[in-house]
Amino acid sequence: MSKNKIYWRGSEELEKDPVFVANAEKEFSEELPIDQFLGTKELDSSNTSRRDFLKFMGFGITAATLAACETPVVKSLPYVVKPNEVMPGIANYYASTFFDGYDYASILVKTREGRPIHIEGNKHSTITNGAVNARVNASVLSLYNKKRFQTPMKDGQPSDWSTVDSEIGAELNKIKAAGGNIGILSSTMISPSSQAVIDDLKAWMGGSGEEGTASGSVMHAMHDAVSVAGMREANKRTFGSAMIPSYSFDKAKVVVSFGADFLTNWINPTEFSSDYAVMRKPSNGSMSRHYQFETVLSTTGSNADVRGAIRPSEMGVAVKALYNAVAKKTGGASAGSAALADDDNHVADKINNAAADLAKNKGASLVVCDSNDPNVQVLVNGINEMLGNYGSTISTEKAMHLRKGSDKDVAALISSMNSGQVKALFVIDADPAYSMPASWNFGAALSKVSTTVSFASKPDETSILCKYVCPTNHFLESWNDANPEGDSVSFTQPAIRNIYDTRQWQESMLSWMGKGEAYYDYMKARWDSPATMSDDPSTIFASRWNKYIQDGVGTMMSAMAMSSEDSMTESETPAEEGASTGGFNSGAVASAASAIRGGGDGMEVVFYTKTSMGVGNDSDNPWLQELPDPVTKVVWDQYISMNPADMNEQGLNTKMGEQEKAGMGRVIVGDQSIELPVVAMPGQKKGTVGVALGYGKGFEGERQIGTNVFPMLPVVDGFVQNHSSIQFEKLEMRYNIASTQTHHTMMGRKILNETTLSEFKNADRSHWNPIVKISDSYGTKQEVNKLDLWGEHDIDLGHRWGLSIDLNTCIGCNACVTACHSENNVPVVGKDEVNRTRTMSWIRIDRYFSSDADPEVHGDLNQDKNYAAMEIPSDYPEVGFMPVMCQHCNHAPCETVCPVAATTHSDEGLNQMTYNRCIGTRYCANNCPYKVRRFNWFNYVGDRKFTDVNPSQDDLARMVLNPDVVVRSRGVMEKCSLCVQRIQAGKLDAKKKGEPVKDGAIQTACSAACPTHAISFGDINDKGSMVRKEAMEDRAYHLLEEVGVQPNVWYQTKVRNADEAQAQA
Amino acid sequence: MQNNWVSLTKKVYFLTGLFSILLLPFKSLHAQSGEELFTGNCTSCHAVNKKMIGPALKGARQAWAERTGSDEAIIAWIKNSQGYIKETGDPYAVELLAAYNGTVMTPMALSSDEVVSILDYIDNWEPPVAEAAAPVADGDGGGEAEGGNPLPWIIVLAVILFIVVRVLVGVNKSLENLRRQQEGEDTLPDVSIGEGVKAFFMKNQAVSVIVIVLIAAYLSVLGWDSLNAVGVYQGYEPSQPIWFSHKIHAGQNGINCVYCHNSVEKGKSAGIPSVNICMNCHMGVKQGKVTGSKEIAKIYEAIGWDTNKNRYIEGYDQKPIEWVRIHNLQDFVYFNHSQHVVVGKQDCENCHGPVKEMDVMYQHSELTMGWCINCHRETNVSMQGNEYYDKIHADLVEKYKDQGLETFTVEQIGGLECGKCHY
Repeated sequence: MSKNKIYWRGSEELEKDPVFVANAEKEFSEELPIDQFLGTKELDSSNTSRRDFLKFMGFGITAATLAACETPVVKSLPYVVKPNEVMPGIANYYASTFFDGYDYASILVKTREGRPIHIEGNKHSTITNGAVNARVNASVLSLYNKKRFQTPMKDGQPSDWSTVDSEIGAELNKIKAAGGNIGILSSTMISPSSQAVIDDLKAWMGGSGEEGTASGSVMHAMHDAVSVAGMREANKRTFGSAMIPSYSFDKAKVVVSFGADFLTNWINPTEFSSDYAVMRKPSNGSMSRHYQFETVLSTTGSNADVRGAIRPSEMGVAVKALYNAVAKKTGGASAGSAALADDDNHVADKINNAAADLAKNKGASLVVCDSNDPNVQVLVNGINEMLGNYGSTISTEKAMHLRKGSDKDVAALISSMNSGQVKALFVIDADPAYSMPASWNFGAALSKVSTTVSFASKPDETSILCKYVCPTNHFLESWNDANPEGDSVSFTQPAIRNIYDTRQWQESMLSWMGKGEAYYDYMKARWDSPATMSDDPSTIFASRWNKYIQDGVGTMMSAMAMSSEDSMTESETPAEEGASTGGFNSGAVASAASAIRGGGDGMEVVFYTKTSMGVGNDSDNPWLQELPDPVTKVVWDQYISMNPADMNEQGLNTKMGEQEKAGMGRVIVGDQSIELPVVAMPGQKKGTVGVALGYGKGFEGERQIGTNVFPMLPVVDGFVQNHSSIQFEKLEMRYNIASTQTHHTMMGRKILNETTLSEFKNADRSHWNPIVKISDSYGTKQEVNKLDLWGEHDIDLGHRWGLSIDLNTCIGCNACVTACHSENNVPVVGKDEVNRTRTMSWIRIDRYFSSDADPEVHGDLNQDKNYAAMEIPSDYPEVGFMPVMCQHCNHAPCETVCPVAATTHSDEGLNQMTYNRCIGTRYCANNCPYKVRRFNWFNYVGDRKFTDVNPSQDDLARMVLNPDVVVRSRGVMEKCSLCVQRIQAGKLDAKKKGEPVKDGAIQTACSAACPTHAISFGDINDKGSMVRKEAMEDRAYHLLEEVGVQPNVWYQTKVRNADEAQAQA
Repeated sequence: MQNNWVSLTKKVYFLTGLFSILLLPFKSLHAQSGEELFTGNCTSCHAVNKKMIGPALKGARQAWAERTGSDEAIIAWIKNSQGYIKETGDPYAVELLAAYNGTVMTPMALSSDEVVSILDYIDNWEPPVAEAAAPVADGDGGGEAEGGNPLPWIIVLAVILFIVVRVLVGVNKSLENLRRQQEGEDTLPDVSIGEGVKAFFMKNQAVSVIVIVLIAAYLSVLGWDSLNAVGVYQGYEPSQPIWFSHKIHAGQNGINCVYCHNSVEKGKSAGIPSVNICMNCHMGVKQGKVTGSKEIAKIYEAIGWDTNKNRYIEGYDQKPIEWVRIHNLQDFVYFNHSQHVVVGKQDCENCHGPVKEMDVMYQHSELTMGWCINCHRETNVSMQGNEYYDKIHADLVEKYKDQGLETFTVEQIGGLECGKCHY
C-alpha cells in the first residue's frame, strides 16, 4: 500500500523539530500532573487499582441494594389494658348530635380503634329521621384540622389553662364586685344544659341577689349568621310569641316557597328534606306539588314543579299577590293591590295557579318564606292562617329552637359595648367579626371591651381580636344535649379523647365561677330526676341514662324544654295590641300589607347560602370546597351568578371549562365592593346577581377562598336583609374557574327520563318510559337486552347487588358525595386538577337544564347549526339531578379491554377493580360509556403539589381514612366499588349469625347518607328486597340502555307534578 | 416423651379402672372427661399441686369433705363461689377468698356431675415423673444427634468417594503404564486433574453440552425459586422482646388459643393479647419453667405490678410491649380471621402450623396469594347448618347437577374473585 500524499500536522512535523519528535508519541504535549491528582505515595504503593475500586464499589452498591429489599421489621403494640368496647378491626358506632349553630342532625359516629372516621344519620331520631347533609358528613374531617387551637391563647401567644383561668376568674370576680356587666355573644343555643350554665353565670354574677347590693349582670345575645329574626318578630305580631314554629313537609300536598331553600339551607334542612321526600313518591298515585319563587336558582328551586324567578325586592309584592289570590278563593279580604313590576316569566299566573292549588288543599299545604322582613312574614302567616295550616302542617305549640338569634339583641349588646358598659365579652360558637353586617361595626365595639374571651376551636376573625382564646372541644370530643324542637332531646357524646389541650366552654365557665365540675357531671346531674324524660321514671337512672346516650335521642318532659323565647329585647317589648298567645291576630296583616314596598328596577343582588359552605363554619374543609355546587357545578370558588341572557348582554363568557376563562365583575353595595368571577346560572332572575355567603373566611396569612360578603348585608328596621340593590361593573379581567360539568343539556336524549304526573297516571309506560329497541343485523327492531355480543354471567346465582335511584326524590344535595369520599378514601385533588377534568369523585350528580330548542326540529345531526341550539339552556329552565356512579354493568365494556384483567366481574354482579393488578393503561376509562372511572394521575397522598388540598397528607388528617379501603397510588384506575367492603362485612355478619342477609342490613355509603332515601341498595336476587321491587316498577330504566351493557343500577323516571302549560304558565 | 407418658398413665388408669369397675362403675369415665374439663376450665387459674391465681387443688376435696362431711359444699363453691358465700357465709370460704387477694373465681357453668369428674381427675392425678426433666432438654432440642441433618455425612461420603476415584484412576494409570512399559510403548504423560478433565470434555463434546445445559437449567431453577421467594417470609422467626413460649402456654398448659387471641372469632385480626390478659394468670404465676422470673418481670414492668405487695402500682406510667409482627399481609389484601375461623371452621394450626410445639413463634405458611388460592380451590365450604348458605347451596346443586355435586369449594362460590380480598 503506497501513499502519495503526506499531510503534516504542522511545520514542526515536516521539519522534524526535535522537541516535536520527542513528544510525538505522547497523547498530551504537556506533562500531566498525575502524581499530584493521584495523591500520596502510599497510594502508588497500594495494590488496589482504580478498576478494583470500581469493582468493590459496584459490588457494594449491589449488595446494599439487595440487602435493602428486606422488609423492615414491623412492630405491633397491643394495649396494656384493653378497653372492653374496643376490638381492633371492628368499628364502634356512637350516637351523637351535630349542631354548629346552623345545621342540626342526630348522627351516628363510626369509630375505628378509637378514632372517628365517618358520620351517618341516626335513624332513631324522629326529627331528622336519619338524614344528614354534606356539611354534617364532612365535619368529621374538621376534627383532624391541624389549624385548631392546640392550647389556650393569651394576647395571641400560646398560654396554659392555669394562667388563663386565674386571670379570667380574677377579672370576673372584679367585675362582679364592682357590679359591672358582662356580655355573652353566642350562636343559637339549643342545649338546655349549656343554657343552664349561662343561667348559673347570671345567678353567680347577680351575687347575693338582694336588691340594692352591688352585683353584676349578664347580657346574653344570640347571633345567627343567617338571621330569621324577622320571622320571629312576625310570629310575635300574629301569635304573641317570638318563636319559629315547626313545619311538617310530610303532610303538605302543596308547598309554596318564597326563596326558602328548605332542602339544603333553610332552618333545618335535614328534617325538611327527609319529610319533603315522603310526599314526592308518585308510585302512590299522588305526590305533592311544589312551587318556588326565588331569585337565584337554589337546590330547592331546582326541585320545584313550578318555579318563578322574581326580584328579591319584589318578594313582598309576590307574597302579597299570593295573599290576595288565596283570599279571593277562600273568601278573605284582599291586602291591597300587588302587581309585580318585573315579570318576565309569568310569575303572576304561577301565583294564581299556586293559590288555586293551595285553596284546594286547605289544611294540607304549606307556604314558607326566607325573607327577614317581618311584614312579609306576617303576610305569609296570614296565608297559612287562611288555609288552615296552623295545627296541621305548622305547629306553633312545638316551637323550633334552631334559629333563636335576635338582630335586636345583638344591636343592643353592641351599643352597650360601645358605651363601655360591658366589661367582659365571651364569644361562644360564633364568629361575629366575620358574620356581622359592616354597619354594626362589631370590631370597633369589641375594642372598647377590656376583657374579651373567645371560645373558638380554630382561629377565626373574632378570635384574633380577643385577648384570650379558651379553645373549646370539637363536637366529636364533647358532651352536650340539644333540644332542637318541641320536647325532643338528643345528646352529644365524645367519640375520641381531646386531641389538643382544649376544654369545653361550659367547663371553662363553670371553673371561673369556682365550680370545678366536669361538664359531663353537671349535665348528667340535671337529667338525674324522674321529671326530666318521658320514659319510665321507676327504672334506675343509671340504666335510663345509658339508654339516652346509646340511642342519642329521647323525649323529655316539657318542663325541661328550652324556652322558645329567651331574648333580651323581645320579651321586654310588649306584644302588639290584639296579639294573644295561641290565637291569630289578623289585625297585624293589614298593617304589614301596607308596609310592603315594591321593587326597584336597577341591578340587585341576593346573598344566598350554598349547599357546601352554608355560613362558612367549615369553609377550610377541603371535602366541602371540592364539593360541586348542585346547580353550577363549580368547585373551590365563590362567584357572581348571573342569568346567561344578562351575561351575553354584558359581553361576559357564559361557557365553562379549562379553555374558557370566566369574566370578572364588580358588585358595589354602598361604599363596599367585591370583585369576583361571573358564572352563568340559568334560572337566575334577569337583572339580578347572586353571591354566596360563607366564603373568604380566614385571617391574615391564611389562604382565603373568595371574599366575605356578610359585611355587605343591609340592616333594615333592625333586621339583617339578604338582598340589596347594587351597581354592577364588568371588569376586563379573566379568571380561571373549575367546574365538574361543562355541558348543560341532554340534547334531546333519554338520559334523565322524565314525565308529568298526569301522563304517568294515565298513559301506558311505552309513552313515557319506552323500552329501548335497536335494529338487529336483519333490520328488525329488537329489545336491546335481547341483542348481545357477550355470553351471560350466572347472575341468578347467589347475590346480585344493585342500586335503584329515584330521580324524583333525588334533590341534588350532595350528601352522598361527601359520604362516599369519607367512606372510600377518595382523594381531594384541588381546583387545578378539576379544571383538567381529573376530579376523583366516585359518585357525581349530573345536573341537566331544559332547553328551549325542540329536539324534533333541532335534533337533526345534519344540521349543525340547529343542533347547537340544543346545547343552550333556557333562560328559566327546568332542572333535573341524576347521581351517576359505576353502573356495575353485567356486560361491562371496561372488563373486556383490560389487558391485565385488573377489572373483572364478580358472581355477585359487581364490577370489581383490583388496584394492585392495574397497570394504568386507562383503556377501561376510555371504553366506559358512563365516564365514571377515575385515574390517579398523581400520588395524591405523597405529592407536594397536593399538600394544600389533600387532607390525607397530614399526619393527623390521615386518621380519618377508612382502614378497610386501600389508599390508591399513582397510575391506578379507581371507581365506585358499590362499597364492597360494606357488602363483605354485611355478608360475614350474616354468615356468622347463620341467617340470610336481611334486606336493608347492608347499605352503601351513598344510600345510607341520602336524606330522602332516593338511593336504595340491595340484592336483586332477593325476592323480597326493596331494590328488586323498584327495579321491576314501570318507572325503572337503565341509563344509556341502548348501549346494551345491562347495568345493575336502575333509575326511576322523574315525575313532575305540573303540566307543561302550568310550568310555563 | 410427654405423649408416651400420657399414654402410659392412661394405660395405668385403664387397668386400675378395669379392676375397680365393679366397685366404682363410672369412676374411669369421670376421670377421662375430667381431664378435658380440667384443662378447659381450670388451668388458666389453677394447677393441681401448685398455687397459681387460685389455690392448688390437690387435697382440696378432702379438706372440704372433712369439714362438711360431703362433696356438696365444694361443688356449690366451685359452681358459684360468691353465691356460696352469700348463702352460707362459710368463714372458711371467706378466709380463702381473702387469702387470694379477693380475686373472685368466676361462676362456672358446670353440672354437679362435671364438677365431680374434675375432682375425681384431681384425686387420680400423680405428679408427672418425666415432666420435670423435659423443659431442660427443651432449651435447644437434641434433635440433631438423631440424624436430623444429613449434610456432614454427604460431605464425608463425597470426600471418601473422591479419594477412592483418585486412587482407582491412579491405579488404572499405573497398570496402563506397566502394560505400555512391557510392550515398549511411551508411558502416559503426567497430567494434572484439571488438564485431565479438560481433555475429557474436549474429547466428549456431547457430554460437555449436556453438562452445560444441566448446569444452566439448574441455575435457572435456582434463580426462579429465589425470585419467587422475594417477599415471602416463611420461617420468619424474629426474636421477641419477651421470651414467650407458645409451647409452654398452648402446648403444655393447654390454654386455648382463643383465650388470649380473643378477637379471632369477632374481627379481622386475631389480636395480640393485651397485658391485662397475661395478668389473669401471671398475677399468680411468677416463675417460668425455663426463664424463671426474668421474662415474666417484663409483663409486670409493662403494666406496673408490684410483686411484693401483689397489687397494681397506682398512677404507673404503663408501657406497651413492642412485639415484632410475624405475619404481615400486604395492605392491599383484606383478610378476616373470623370469616375463616367461625364461618369456615378452620383450625388455627391449618395456617399457623404446630404452634403448640413452638418455643419461638415463626411463620409456618408462605402467606402468598398462590397459597391462599390453592386452599380456596381445595377446601369445601361448610354450608351445612348455616342458613345463610341455604339458597346458594340449592342453586349450586342445581347448577352442578350433571356432576352430582353436594359440597362446594370456596372457588365455586366465587372465592377466587379479585374483589373478595382486594378493595
